[in-house]
Amino acid sequence: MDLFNVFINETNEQLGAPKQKWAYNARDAWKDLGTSELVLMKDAAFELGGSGKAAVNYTCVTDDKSLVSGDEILLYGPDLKDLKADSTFARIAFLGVKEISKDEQEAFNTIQNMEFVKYHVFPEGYMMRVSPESNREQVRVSKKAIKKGISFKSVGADYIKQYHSNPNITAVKLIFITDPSVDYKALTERAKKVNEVTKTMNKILEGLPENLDCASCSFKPVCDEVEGLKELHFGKEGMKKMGKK
Amino acid sequence: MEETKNKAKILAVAGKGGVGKTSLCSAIVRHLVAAHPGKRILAIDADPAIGLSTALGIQVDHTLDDIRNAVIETSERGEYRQAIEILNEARFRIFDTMVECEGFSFLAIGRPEAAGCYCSVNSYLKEVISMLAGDFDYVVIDCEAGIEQISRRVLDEVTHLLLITDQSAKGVNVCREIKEVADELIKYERIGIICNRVVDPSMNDLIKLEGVENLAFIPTDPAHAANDIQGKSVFELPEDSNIMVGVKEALTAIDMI
Repeated sequence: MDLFNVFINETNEQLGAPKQKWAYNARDAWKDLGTSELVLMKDAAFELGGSGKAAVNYTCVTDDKSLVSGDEILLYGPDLKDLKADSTFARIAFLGVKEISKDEQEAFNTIQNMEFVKYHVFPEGYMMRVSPESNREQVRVSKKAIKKGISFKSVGADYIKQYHSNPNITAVKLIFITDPSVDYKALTERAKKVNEVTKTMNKILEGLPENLDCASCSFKPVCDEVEGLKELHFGKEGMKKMGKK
Repeated sequence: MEETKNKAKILAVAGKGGVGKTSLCSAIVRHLVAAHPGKRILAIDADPAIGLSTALGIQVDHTLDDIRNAVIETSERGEYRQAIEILNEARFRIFDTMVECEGFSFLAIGRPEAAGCYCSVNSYLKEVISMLAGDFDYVVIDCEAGIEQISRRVLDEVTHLLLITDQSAKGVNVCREIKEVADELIKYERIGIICNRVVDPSMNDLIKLEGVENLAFIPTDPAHAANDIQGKSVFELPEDSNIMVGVKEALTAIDMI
């Protein structure tokens, strides 16, 4: 399963070394409420991605152990306790998996289930709003939570704990970005492409005609960029017959 | 770990058109804000006539109908979305649509562009009430005139049903009709009737509905009329105005304040 490897590599290249890095320890996990919580503006210390600032989110799945070797939390920019106002924000998750089924439909379901874990993480005082439409993820952090010492290390540990509730996930690299100097435009573009891959997979699985001319297909740009999608469509044999790489 | 959410008190204000539901609703919000500082109060303008925002002095830029249209647009583009994604998209947008004011939050259902039926936006409203109710301590809903929102089960989760009438047989009949439908469809805890714009107090005995407590008789309010014509909000209405006094009496009677 190397559909997302290109995006993992691009992200690593773009970001370079993090400001801070922590190994995952389940004991660091921030209290999870198990259900969504409303943090009103008046109770919020600030909103990550608030006031129209950049807010990006994407998740990439891979079975390449060299890309996601262990559980870790990376931070680029100031931690929560150091933020005093609404900030730019990105959260990116790279999920290492045992193996993805050869059955395409099963593979797609597995990927979606892993991606949807983000909708089941509810750190106390950390109200996430996720827009699948725009790939935005905004977070209102409550004044109370800041007072209690919430940090990306503890929120990240909560995420990783929840990701590990899926037995297929073997390792998680979780990246938080608040540094305003990061190129969020590039991250947003990448988030769109990651989203396109999932959408394209779904379209292929819904059934595109086998004799479809790639030149006239609206998914051509994403198929050209992401290795594995054409194979998913035509199968290995079909690729050989058509002389496609 | 699952945590039990609040059991919100959800108060719906219903009745015939033109009896002053919106004015009373805004006075209810003002009283709740004053009586319960620190509690979370949500006011929902569920009337497509959109009057509650003005009565509360709020500028509304987006409505629930805008969100609903955006979600429909996505599905019409043929974009695949799982239910959980649609739900999260709606939740994302609702917090941009919700106006946070001093002491309370506000949401408007909006006026659908398409003429005629409001069913779809009403169904959406039902989901939104269900989604948000647990996050608030009090939810006050200014309903559309008539029985539509009751009969379409938009108000399933209402705990307190306030029926508003004036001194007219038609007003009382609409309240009776609402009660009959509500008895079938809503598991409300309390129900009461407020008679607004009372001109002749000697006629008050005629305002009767079986099984419904008379909560207040509110005389025609010149202070409210003056406030309204000057474009002032309910928060500028004198404390001793008829509406403020009458609504306080009604809320006290149902243990809301």
